[in-house]
Amino acid sequence: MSSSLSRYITWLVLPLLVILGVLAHCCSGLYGISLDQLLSGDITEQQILILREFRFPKIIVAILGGSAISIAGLLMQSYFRNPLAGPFVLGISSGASLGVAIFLMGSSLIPWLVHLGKLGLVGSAMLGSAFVLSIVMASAKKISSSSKLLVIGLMWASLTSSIVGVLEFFAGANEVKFFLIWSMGSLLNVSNADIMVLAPSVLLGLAVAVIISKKLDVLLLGKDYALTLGINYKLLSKTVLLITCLLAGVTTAYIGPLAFVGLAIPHFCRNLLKTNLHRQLIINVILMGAAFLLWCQWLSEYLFSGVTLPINIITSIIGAPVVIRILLKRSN
Amino acid sequence: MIQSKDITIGYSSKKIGPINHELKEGALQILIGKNGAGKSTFLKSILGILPVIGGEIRLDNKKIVDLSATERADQIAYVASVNPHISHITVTDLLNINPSNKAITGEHLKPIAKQLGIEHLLNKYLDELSDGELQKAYIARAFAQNTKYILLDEPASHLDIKAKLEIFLILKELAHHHNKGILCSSHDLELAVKIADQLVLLRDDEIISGAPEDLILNGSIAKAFNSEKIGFNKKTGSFDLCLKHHKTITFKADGNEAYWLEKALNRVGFNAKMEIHNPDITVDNGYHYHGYHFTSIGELLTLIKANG
Repeated sequence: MSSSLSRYITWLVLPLLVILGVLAHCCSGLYGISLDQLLSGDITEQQILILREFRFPKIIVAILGGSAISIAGLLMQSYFRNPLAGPFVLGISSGASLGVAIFLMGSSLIPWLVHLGKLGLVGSAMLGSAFVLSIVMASAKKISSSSKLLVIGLMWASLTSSIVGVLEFFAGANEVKFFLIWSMGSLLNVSNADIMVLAPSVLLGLAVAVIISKKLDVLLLGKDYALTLGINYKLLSKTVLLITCLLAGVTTAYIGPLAFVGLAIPHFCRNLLKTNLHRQLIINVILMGAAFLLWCQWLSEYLFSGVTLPINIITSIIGAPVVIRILLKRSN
Repeated sequence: MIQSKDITIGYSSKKIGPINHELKEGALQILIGKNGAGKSTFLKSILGILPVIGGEIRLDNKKIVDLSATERADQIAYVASVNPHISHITVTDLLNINPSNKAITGEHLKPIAKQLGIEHLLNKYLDELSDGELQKAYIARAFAQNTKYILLDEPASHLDIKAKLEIFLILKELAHHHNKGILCSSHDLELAVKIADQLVLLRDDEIISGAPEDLILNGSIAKAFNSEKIGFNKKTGSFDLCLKHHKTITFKADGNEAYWLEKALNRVGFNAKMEIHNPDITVDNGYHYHGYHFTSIGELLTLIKANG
């Protein structure tokens, strides 16, 4: 793709999609706020309250969550040199779910866990995702086949969901209900206070990803090349592990496991821009991830009037065919 | 100069050494040895990918273990045997994948591409290249790294003969015209003999280096590779099959025809001998064998084999 066209996508098309998504969320909903009102600033106190307390948090969470989970997916695809890698398919989101399940349902057995509040939820999601990601990374050293790695990820997802099942069996009704709602994925349960934790964590992860983007390109060539190109491979691996867990863990903790977003967005970006260079990919993945989740959320709320679908239904409808497409392309 | 002093390499289960070796700038060394002799291990040990068990490697008189990864990358580049056909990465992108270098564009890119004969491929994606073109692109990447030394692990092992020759000629050019010190492992001994400035023979836990001709004449190569069924021919610098010959057949021929007729008769199990008086086969506008006339060696062999 010509550089002018990719610049056009990066600096015009994708930002426009994000802005339109933001405006769509601001103006949609039971309590109508027109675009004219919004742009002219002629809005009532009540409208400001609705925007501040309900619509802005949702918009910010969509932007942060979409970009975070997409960058986590890109990092995993680069590390494993596998376009099928992603937090959801490799079981990282399941690991986070396990952490959250232990935290939520374990609190009925260990009452002091409750005092940790939302931070405990975030920490347990990150620990859970780090646990599964470390095992998948160790497995990847022994197997080169991408489909086998995928099967290992699926097995871990299956194993963690079994453990979650055991926890559900012994947990109280309230905890189980809370966990089930969380696991469906939703951007609507995040408060402004939660954003104060989510935003710095995601921004830190994204900033590190941007800083190491040139080094991430070397990972495309494989470990031996990385070692001979002046890269501290161990440090780079640990950095990738840490920021993947930070981005995937913190996002999953607040909005639940998001299906296929981390896998599909880097894939869309590569195909759209015809590049695999991280210097160009990262900014596009951030913008596209944000736009994607904004619009998925909008569809989940307004596709059928009066009903809000779980966001995972929308992301799966778009994401699952991407996996099938990649598998078919690779088998060719 | 990269100097390996009494190094022991390998793994706890299989150690190789002590090995002594020197690689100087401006020379093309080809590393040969049987499968499992430790060629890749040796290269990876010099590159710092694998740790050395004993001894030390010095790069321009500095211990290589004391150099940072970046300092090593400034001095030694690497090309692997099998390289990924990465999608959505152009050859130009590949030449720029180097975290310690500034972007290589325009005026700097063209001479590198020209040297490797890949100017027409600069905007192509790696998954659109043939295997030979891909290897050239990866060698160009190593060249673009602008190091004194380039180490290559069987860069032409899976290529056809034309692509293989092109790769080795490029390496020779890089060594002689750009003063690079090149150490390249290969299984193609016959080609290595023709093209290398020095052969580095890894054999039974020791390294023997020297001009190819010296290693042929002193029997080092024959000792490393000869077996019951294969013999190294010191005259031609190639391997001959040691076939059992049950019968002797005589022939009279000149030049190329004598050479290939002897080879053909040996191949089908005869001990072929040149004989001026009353030979079994004569060559004169075709092949004559006891009153029969054939236009090709193939036809001649069919009848001789049929007659036992």
